[in-house]
Amino acid sequence: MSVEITAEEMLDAFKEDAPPGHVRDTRWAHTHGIGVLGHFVASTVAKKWSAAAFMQGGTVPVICRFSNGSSDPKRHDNWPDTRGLAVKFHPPGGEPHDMLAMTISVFGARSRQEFLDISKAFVPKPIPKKSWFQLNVVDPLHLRLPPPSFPPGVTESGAPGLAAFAGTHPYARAFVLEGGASIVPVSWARIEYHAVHTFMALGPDGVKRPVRFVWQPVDGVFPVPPVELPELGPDFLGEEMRRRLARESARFTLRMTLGEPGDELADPSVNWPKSRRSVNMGMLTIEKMAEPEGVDVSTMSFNPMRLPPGVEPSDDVILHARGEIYSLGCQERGGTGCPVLHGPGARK
Amino acid sequence: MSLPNGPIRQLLYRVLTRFWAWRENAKPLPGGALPSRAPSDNVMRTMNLVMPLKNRTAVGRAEAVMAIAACLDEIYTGLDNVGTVHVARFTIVDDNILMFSFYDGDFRTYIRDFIMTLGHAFDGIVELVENPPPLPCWRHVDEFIEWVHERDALQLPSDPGELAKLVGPEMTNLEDLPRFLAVQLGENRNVQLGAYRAYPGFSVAQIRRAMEAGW
Repeated sequence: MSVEITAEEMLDAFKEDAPPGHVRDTRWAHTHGIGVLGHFVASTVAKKWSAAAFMQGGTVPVICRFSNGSSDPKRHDNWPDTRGLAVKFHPPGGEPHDMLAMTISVFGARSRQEFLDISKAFVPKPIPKKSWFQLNVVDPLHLRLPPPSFPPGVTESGAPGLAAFAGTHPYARAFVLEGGASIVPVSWARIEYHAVHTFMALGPDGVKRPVRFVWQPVDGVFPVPPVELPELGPDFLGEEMRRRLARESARFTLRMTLGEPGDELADPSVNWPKSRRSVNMGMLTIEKMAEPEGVDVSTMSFNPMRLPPGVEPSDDVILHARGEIYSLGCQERGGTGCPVLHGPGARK
Repeated sequence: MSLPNGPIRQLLYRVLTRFWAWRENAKPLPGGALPSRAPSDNVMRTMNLVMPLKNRTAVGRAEAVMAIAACLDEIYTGLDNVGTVHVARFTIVDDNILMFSFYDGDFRTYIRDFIMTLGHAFDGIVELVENPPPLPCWRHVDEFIEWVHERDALQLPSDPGELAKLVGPEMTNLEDLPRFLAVQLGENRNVQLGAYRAYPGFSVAQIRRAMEAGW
């Protein structure tokens, strides 16, 4: 039974996926990132769909963390990766709550057992080399594309094992295909972030609706052209964000898609059709770097199950498990709980 | 593939695509909108009707332009009154007349309403294309619906997971996805790759009502 698999076991499985050299007291996933501060303002229609306090309008201060998904102790902003945007809302007079999102719109598992299975498949191994005959005769005759290239110097990766796993495990295919198409964006502010799981949004009419959230960059999605990648440093995204926020804000709209009968509510491995109704719920404006303001996001806990009144988790097993795993990981690295935002991050 | 991109490579690809279609006993996927299972799947559906012209010269294209221009009032009035069409357009591309539209509801109902309302205008257009349906089309409704369905392009999901599910249900190796896709594209030369909707999930009737357009 999947419920017998504990968060400890899942976190341990995940640790096996990390390249060697993990630095104590750092995250086991999305290891490298930066903190930024800003605010969220709900749209004029948001309150018609959600009774949550942060959707009622007015300015809600936020602390955010942009990150690369990799657990590699060395930072590689210039490599394709699954990026993350974690937002901690601080509604005036209310408890802080989080929204965690990533650049892949689905998850590669539907149960705790599948989480263990896909984690095992992702353990880094020497990248298999195809023979000349395979590459130039067999694969072309099978109408296969050339295998993906890896950044220079990379000899081990979990990606080939993951791709092989997805071949025989259809539920992992969308996750692997989207992951394989990951880009290097010109900015953390130029890529879309999906909250992946289904949540139940309580409306002012008392109706709970299944919804999914996505942050869409106001400036649009823009990848670095491949020919320019070699010119970029391993921390270029952090530098770009510093330069960007020195001259202007970075903005995202929060789009909430409404589920319909028959849509997968508890299965994060499946996307909902693009034809679903969606509502613009508000604007996230990121204004300044967190560190100079005395806010340290490296230790801060972000958790997908830290939800506000009016937003509830669905029955998605992975969402609940992630809540436990993030909590455990936070404890292990000596992270801090949700700080009360009084000073630097608060919008005055 | 290491061959230079020339006629030999093109020929090899054609041969390989046919070989794999035979080897995998591939069946062409049907064109037209994917089955709807939820209310919003049933609005703003798309049709991509591709009709090759009989006369593949500039004269043939001119005949098509004249035929459409001669019945614009019929077409526009008909579409206004069908009441389920968001957008429709005729275009000529490479000796094909294309009719692309966003419509609400069931495909067969859409075509039936469409042809009963502006069937006369459509007769003048389809008599210019290869293998036309029985004419007048508004007196052969069921045949006409089938004729349109056969020429409605395959709609590929833009979502990668759904794409793999549709074209490669038997696939056991992700590396083979391009082959499964090529085999389908060998069988279906015309495909829709994605369709953006600024207001997904709303019908023509809802929009007209909300905008107080008086319909």
